[in-house]
Amino acid sequence: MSLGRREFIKAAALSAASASIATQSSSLSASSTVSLPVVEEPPKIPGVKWDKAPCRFCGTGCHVMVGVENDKVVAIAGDQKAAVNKGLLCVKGYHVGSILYGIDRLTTPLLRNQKTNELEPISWDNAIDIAAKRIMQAPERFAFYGSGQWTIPEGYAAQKFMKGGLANNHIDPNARLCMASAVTGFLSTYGVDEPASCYDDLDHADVVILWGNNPAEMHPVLFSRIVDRRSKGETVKLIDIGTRITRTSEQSDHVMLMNPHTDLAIANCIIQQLISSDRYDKEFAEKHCNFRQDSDPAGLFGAPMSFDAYVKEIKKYTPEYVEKISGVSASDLRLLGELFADPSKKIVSLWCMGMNQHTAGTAINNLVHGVHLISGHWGKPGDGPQSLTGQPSACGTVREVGTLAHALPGGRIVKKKEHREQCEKLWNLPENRINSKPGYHTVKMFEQFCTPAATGGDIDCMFVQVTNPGQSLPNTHKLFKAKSKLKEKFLIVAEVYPNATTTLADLVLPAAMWVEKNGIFGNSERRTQQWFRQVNPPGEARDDCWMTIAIAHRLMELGHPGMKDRDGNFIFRVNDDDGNEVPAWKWEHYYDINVDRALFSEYRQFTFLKHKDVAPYDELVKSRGMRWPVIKDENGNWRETRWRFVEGADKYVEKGKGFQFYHSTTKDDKAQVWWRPYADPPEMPDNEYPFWLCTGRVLEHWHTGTMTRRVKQLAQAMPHTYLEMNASDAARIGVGQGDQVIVESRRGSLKLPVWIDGRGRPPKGSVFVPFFDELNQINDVTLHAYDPFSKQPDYKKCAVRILPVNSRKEL
Amino acid sequence: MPVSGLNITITDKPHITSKLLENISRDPSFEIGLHEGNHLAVVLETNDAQQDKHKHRWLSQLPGVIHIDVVFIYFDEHGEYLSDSIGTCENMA
Repeated sequence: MSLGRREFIKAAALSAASASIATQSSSLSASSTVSLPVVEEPPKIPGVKWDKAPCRFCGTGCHVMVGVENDKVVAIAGDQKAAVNKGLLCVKGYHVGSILYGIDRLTTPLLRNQKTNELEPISWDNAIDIAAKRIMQAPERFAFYGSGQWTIPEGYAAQKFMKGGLANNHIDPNARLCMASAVTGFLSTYGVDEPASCYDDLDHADVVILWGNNPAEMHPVLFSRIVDRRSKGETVKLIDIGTRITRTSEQSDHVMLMNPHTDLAIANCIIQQLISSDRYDKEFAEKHCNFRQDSDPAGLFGAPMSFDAYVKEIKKYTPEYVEKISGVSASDLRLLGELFADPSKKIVSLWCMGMNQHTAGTAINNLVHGVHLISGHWGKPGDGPQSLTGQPSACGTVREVGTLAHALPGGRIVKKKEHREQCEKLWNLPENRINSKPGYHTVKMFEQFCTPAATGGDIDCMFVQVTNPGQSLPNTHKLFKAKSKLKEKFLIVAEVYPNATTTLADLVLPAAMWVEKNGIFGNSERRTQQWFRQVNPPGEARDDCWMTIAIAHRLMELGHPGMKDRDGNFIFRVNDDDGNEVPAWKWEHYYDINVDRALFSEYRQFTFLKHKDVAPYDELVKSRGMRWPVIKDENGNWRETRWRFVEGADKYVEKGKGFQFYHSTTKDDKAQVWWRPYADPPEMPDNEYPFWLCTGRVLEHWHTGTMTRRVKQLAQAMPHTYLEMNASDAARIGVGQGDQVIVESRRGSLKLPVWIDGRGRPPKGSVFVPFFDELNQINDVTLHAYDPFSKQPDYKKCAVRILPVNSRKEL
Repeated sequence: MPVSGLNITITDKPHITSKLLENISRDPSFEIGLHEGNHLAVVLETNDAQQDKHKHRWLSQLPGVIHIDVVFIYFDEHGEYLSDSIGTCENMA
């Protein structure tokens, strides 16, 4: 590279860094006197073209500027125009461009040869034909499994294909394993899903409580907003309630290590203190809350409860009582009670998998909402509960498009006749096309797929897109690896790299990823984010959305009646500006028209019922995402909403109401405060399996590592998984730093090196293992017990034993 | 040769800050830019990914460095990387 070009690049890097400082200084600190100009244009490098895109990884929804030269991503810069990240990126984000260029990208369709068991190249025509014919054999025994990595149009197409086309509800996403309990928590509390608050709260809060949450590693850009405020001398108290010391704990003012599962007791204890000291927000509670308890039989929306009955039940959750259950000292529990009793403090609660991957996930979600509601710490800037997501479009694609076994687009459900009718009308389908019976949720879907047909396994064929269940499902011996012995089952996998799931695939479809295709994501704060294709995918890799449309069209050719609407048109018909049909099912014509725009515009009509009005596609093109509901004002401008249910911030709240939960399950504009008692989890340590096992992510790797392990810098920084152990436990069982141990549960075992006092530090009796490592899959060990309402499994606690082995591995 | 633009959150203690700036400016891999309040703009230019990683680690451990945000990165060459421990390729054609 010439010196001149090098200097250009360095100047661009310096300009980007300086601009990010200017952006932070001008937007984050109200008291700052800095008046530096905010540089909003991307760095100028000769030959490099820049365009926006949201990051491909977590649910934060940072925007990056992507620099492209000669059809290749060559540079990444934080996007100064993006309100989410204000030009900043985490270590994964700035390597996001490299995920496209791992040496083993899948570039051609592959079919497993039944004789040799090898995957062999085939043509796309053949691949689509094989997939369609397998589905056609028994459409009702087919299942579609996706994730919050589906773009909104991809998820919408999959949803329409299954529920509107095949009349089959066996569609579910990996997000079931991530945030389904947050969904049921929001639904049963407010009557409608998704956070009412937004990231702006982090710029206003006096106290941030982290409930089993490690944002320093998992959502680092959000965490840096807090760090930045503190570095400027603002007081932001951080309270970490968790089961191990993390990088977040190291920067927290108070670390409250709790016994696993006892967050339920802690939340109840906070409420108990507020009520017993008569310092709850009586006005807010009376005007805006009802009380609720489990019904018999149990149901998501429960049964009414009087305030007196609630007080009677919660009475025993004193700090002393809860100290015994949780291990958190009574004085720390009192500190929490005092904070919530103080109306002058602004308090944000943050959570993600720690509360959601929980056999009582719905309950703990209800309780944290309840703590905020009854204390009145709700709905003001910097004052409210905010759940986070782990996938880039868990909210946009899964929760809003409704790619769940029981759901329909826009907050509708298959069980409700009027919802089915609305969808049939919008999709122009014959009456009663949509099946009223919910399909299988994730665990059940894979259980049925991995059970022989002869013994009741009624899923024969499965299509997996944009996720890696072979590694991410719990108890993988039972829920995934058992497929290897079932020759009658057919697994179709669309993927970008070989991974644990393609290992058992019968048909592999090479997929385009991120800026190799058009896309739209929806992040954790209701922000819908659009981007355009910027480079071509390698070889014959193609868009997931195209695959769905192509298979649907082939099914129509094979005579499947569901692939036509009531007028006899293909259900995915897209027209050009003159009204002529564009054959989007043919790859060579797929980009003749913007299929994303067509699908999103169709989907947008579904979003009004639950007041989740997404912006028109063309408005999203102009923005760095917009938070719904997006409403056109009297001047014709599209306005986003920062705080839902709050008068003045949410246009759907009636004047004079103050707060209005307008989708209340009790139809009285009130939210529900739930009575959710503490109960032991289904599996706890005992003499045979004496340790708690918790699993999770690390900073360098995203999810199962399929993408990040192809990035040299990230893979070298964290090459393999490990077992975090407390020093005293290690001494007791006679293992030292780097020694190999076997971690074993009732379901499986795994050999790992021990890391003592490493990045994370579990307390005595507890170990932690990250799940990113394909060759050391901790999900062979985890439990698949799940929450009764959300059906989300608990990856955060099961019982294991640790057995020393006589070998050592470098950490 | 990776080039990255860094936004470093630094301490507000002047005596530590001046020592920190001295430390960074002594290393030719770094070029210091805007210093405003608790933030410092820096460019890091290294020969390869390994050196890049080592420099980042060194920087993050300097007294006075609170947090490093990377806001720009240019890749001379992409990794075209396959971790030694990625094992499913033998199943592929």
